[in-house]
Amino acid sequence: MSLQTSNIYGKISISDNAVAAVASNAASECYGVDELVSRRLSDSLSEMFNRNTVGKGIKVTTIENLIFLDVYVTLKYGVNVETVKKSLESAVRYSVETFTGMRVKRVNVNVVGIKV
Amino acid sequence: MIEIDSNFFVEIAKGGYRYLSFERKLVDSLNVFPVPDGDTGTNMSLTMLSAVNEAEKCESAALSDIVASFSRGALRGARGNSGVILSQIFKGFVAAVSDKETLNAKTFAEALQAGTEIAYSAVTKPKEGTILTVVRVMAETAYALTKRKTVELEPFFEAVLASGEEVLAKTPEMLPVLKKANVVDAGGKGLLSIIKGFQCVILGKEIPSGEADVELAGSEKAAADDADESDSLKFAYCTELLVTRLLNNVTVADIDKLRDKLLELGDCVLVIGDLNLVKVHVHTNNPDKVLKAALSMGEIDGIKIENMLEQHRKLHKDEEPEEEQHEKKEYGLIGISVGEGFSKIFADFSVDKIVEGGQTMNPSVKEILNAINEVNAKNVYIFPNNPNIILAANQAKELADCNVFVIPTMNIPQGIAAVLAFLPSESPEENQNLMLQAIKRVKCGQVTHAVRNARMSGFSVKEGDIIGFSDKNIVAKGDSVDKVMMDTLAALVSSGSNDVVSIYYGADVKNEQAEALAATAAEAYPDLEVMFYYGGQPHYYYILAVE
Repeated sequence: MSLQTSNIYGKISISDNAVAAVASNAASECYGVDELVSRRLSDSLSEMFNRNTVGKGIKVTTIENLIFLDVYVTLKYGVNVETVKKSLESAVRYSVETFTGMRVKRVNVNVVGIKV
Repeated sequence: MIEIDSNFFVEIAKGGYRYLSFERKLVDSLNVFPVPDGDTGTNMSLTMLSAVNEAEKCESAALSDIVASFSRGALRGARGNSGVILSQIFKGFVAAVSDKETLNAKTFAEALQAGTEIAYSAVTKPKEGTILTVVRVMAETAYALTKRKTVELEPFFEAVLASGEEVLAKTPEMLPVLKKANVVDAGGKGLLSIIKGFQCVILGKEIPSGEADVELAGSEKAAADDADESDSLKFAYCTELLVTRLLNNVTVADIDKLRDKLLELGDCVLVIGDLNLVKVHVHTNNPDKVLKAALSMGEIDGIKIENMLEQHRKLHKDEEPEEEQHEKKEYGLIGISVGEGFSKIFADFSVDKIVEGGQTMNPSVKEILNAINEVNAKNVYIFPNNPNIILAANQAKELADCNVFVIPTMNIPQGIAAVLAFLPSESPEENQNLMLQAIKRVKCGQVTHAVRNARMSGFSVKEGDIIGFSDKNIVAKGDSVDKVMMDTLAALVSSGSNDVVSIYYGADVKNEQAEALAATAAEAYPDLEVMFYYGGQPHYYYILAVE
């Protein structure tokens, strides 16, 4: 699936991978985030073979040109989980919306671990 | 007529406009929903005018081009909620006739369907009981008509219109605000007027000119009832505008984003259009922010901002003297009856509202509640006349705004006794006591036939036997209705002191038969007064009341 839109010059389509890359970048730069964690087998495999995994730890779903994001992260020890989740959500939403120009309907932040 | 060409389409469109202008005042008078942002009839006819003008101006002779200009004109000239929705319905026509040269019933059905879809998606929170429902039902009928066969346009329009009228009449049931105002939906009515205009042209009928006389009864009441809603008017400004010459970097997604943003600012949001033209309609408290958001996308045009609060106040003021005339009555009586005879008896005893119900057809809570609202009294007494309905009546009591007393009458004779005990001069509580005492005095018997084999209170009953009940117990059994009825009466009379016997005969019993039986009963009990009435109840041959 990909996002479709158009302007006077023509059609624009944005692949889910591109969205994932932007979201992943924004998420990893967030304060308190240790790293993004891959939840898919294919990601883990390509990691094993040292291929660069763009958009790791991000699941993108697009329904009727609305973006739904799932972000899987481990956090650093000692941060306030709630606060980091909130700032992560808004940072990801902002960067994806400004990059794609499309609407982000939801950002789910899943904290899968804490780095001690 | 099977199909119409492009020239004739313009004629038809004009017909629609003319018929709508004819009924404009009438449609205006219906306008109560959701808030008085202008007048539905005026808005819709202006929308139509713009559409027709655009269609006439169109230089191409191809049907698709003409329909496209017609639709564009509608969008450009769209005013108010109903106008915008109307323009969306016409937008569906464009999709349906895209490559066709003539318009037949099938295309018209497709057009209506496409229009319905687009109109539904244009409205952020579609509500049933509005123009949307009317167009949807008409589209469904049109589809069903043309599914298998080619239909001539004349009967097609007639059937579509008939279904539209039917659902329009039901709109007050779907939308409480209409019900309260006692009117049908204005947008739906306007749409029907347009289609009626189409039909007139196809039939070659004259379209009345001038304006139809308006019967203001409905709307006056509407406004009076509507007035108490002025506090609930959350957004004050009805803001409408067009965004034209959109900036080059604007994408389709930005139009959706604008809609999202407006949803935060207000309600009744409509944002429709494409990269050439966007129509915006919103009710908001911050028209400035709406303008700003629209400006970020392109040039704005056709701005209209109306203060709905002011309109509301005016309406309120005009109607204030009216309200006194709608003063509530002190007392209202609601009887649940089964059979026309009983309904008539209740009506004779000045019961204000009779709800049809009974053993197997219990009225719903909603029906009872509607009856309570219709009676429009401060104190309402309900006579359920059936143990199964008492619960529903009690629930209706919880939901009602006024003071409701449910008198737990288990059968119709008790109900009649309670109604007779009612004294308008007494206080509500005193009346309740009087009624409760009255129903205790009544002993009730019923004669019916058994529908299955059973063993009960010492009687073994076979299917088809005639049986007599006193309250819940079987007291008589036999083959002949008359004999069982006499036995039942004997059982009722045997206990306590009695004065009056009332016999209500059912729908299955003939008048002469009942008369003869009453005479026999009078002979058998010379010290009692025997009276007989037509109850018209199903299933039960006789219902007896002994007091």
